[in-house]
Amino acid sequence: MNALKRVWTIAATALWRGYRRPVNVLVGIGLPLFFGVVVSSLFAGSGNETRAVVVDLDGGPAAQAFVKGLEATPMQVSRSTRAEAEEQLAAARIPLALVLPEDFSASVAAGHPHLELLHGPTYEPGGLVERRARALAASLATGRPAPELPVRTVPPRDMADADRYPYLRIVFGFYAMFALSTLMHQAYELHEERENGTLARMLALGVPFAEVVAGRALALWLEGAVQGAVMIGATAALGAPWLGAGLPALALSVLATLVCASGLALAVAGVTRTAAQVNNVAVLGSTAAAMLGGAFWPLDVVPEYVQKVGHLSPVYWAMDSLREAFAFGGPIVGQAQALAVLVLMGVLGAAVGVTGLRRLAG
Amino acid sequence: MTQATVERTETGGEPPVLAVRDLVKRYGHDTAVDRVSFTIYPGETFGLLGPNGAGKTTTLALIAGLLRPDGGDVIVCGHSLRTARRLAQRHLGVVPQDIALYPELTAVQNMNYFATLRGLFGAERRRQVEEALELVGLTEHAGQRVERFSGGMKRRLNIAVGLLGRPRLLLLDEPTVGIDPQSRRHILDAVRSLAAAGTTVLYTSHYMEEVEYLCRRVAIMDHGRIIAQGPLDEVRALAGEAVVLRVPWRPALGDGDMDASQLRNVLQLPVETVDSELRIVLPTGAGQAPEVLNALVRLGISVDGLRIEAPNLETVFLALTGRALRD
Repeated sequence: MNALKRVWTIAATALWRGYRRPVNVLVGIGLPLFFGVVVSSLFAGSGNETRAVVVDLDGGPAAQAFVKGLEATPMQVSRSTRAEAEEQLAAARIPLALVLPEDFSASVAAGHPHLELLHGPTYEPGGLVERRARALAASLATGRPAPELPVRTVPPRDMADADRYPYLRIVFGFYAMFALSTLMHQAYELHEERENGTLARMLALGVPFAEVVAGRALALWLEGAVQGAVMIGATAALGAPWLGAGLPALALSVLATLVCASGLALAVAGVTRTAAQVNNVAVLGSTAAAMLGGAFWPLDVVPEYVQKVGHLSPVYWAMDSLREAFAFGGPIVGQAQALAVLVLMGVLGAAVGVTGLRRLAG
Repeated sequence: MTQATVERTETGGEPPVLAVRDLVKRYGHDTAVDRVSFTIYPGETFGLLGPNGAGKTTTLALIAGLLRPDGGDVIVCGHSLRTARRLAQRHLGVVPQDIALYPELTAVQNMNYFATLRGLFGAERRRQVEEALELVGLTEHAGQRVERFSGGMKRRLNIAVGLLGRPRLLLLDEPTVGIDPQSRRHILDAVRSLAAAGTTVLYTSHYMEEVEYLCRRVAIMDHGRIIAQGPLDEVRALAGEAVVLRVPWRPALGDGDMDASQLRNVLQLPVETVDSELRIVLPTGAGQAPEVLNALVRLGISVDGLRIEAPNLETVFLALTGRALRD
């Protein structure tokens, strides 16, 4: 019991001290808020996701619903004629095109959607566009999951918030980036505690080093939670439909992102020795993670190998967990992979961090 | 190096609060603490004196359980730091040399924080925080942020934190470094009050006046080793014939343009400047004084007063090491 009290005291005091420094409030809350409210709007206004080329030969209500649903997943859907699509495919400018044949609406009404897929040499079977197209077609036909199709087992979300999703995606990407950056900076305070003598003082009082680290980790986690609450709360107040996929899905995305960010922050504290090193890792690391993870632009616009590298970024998985929840319904089912990766990254980071921080205990 | 021990057992039947036995700490090939042994009994204020870098702080860190010794052991109130570190630490109050406080917090917030970590809660915490703040004279500043404190006030608060939990043994590491005379006096009085109330104190300093003022028994450290220890009078007697010549020192009023280290080189004697005063150690006694005074006059220093001081710990250190305590 006393151990828990000590851990909580260390965490709460660290958090309180942090917010008594104006620069921390500015960097930890003000800047993310600015990015969440202002910069995200600019980014979101610059265009949706790209990629899917649709040849609509049907033009019926089901075809329109299909295109709208695809845009909501989100994708930038460009309409094309069959000839143009084939020309682009031949030139390898696009990997595939979806063809809604003349009987598409009728086939949907009959419960057996008919959908064609044209692809060129760079196409990988079972890719994102194909999976989502299949899922959408199935749900349009049945109104519920289509077990015979090897796609998601939940139907697409209500499309009411579809046009706002790109904005949410960008805000959440920035949130993940700022969580990484802020928590990495704050993790350095363990080094400051050692330099200022307060760590030695705590240890001399008989507080186990593990409790000090646990208290600091909890403080990091709480700081990230406050940051998330501010960014999401402020944008929600401005009308962002954060609960479009349900509160549990949103909460899981935030929690997993925090576990990951605080674990990686401990790792940075564990492997660095100076404030300059921490600054470099925090700034470069979080920015690179955001760029590779798709916070600044959709990954669809970058080369395929960069997309693969992006899978190493926690920002990618943070955004993926939210996207999957919005596109296929949350919580858990669509998000499971992303949540597992985030938690794994956090646990591995914490293990590295705690190992490295043992040297501070003397 | 001379090893002078004039230790005398003053147990009075009570077991020691602190027993340091053959303590060793090495950093690579350097030995920071070399077979250090001493014992402190209940109610004593024991002085650990030595120049900067002598190993005092490392010794205190070993006693506080912050470093693992490479040899020897420390027994605090019967508990070995090797086998029962947490139990031993419960009896210790540590006042580090650096100001180990959070500047963004107020004095009372700092106190409450460390008190909670010490295991104090509720009314008991409040009582002990108030008592400690009162002892160091900071009650009126309890709600003020530490970053607005003067250096002396920070040092006093640093001590107050060390008093939380009413430790049986208080470790004070150079608690008066870099502060104004008023705060220094306040701290020394506070330590005396604690000792009078029965708290055992281990006081380290390189200010021999403070150690002489507070302590009945002392140990002198140099290069990681204890070179002399015992009751103050008996350690003082180790100085032999050496005395200290004290001369007013006012360079701003034309007392030459030399500093202490230059004077040391010219006179070939240990020289210090302390509180507008030159202190020159005369190893062979007062008979050296005329020769030294003539030399000072030749250097343009107006000798308008002088005092020859009886042997003190400074002169003991000189006699044992050939160097001034503050070198």
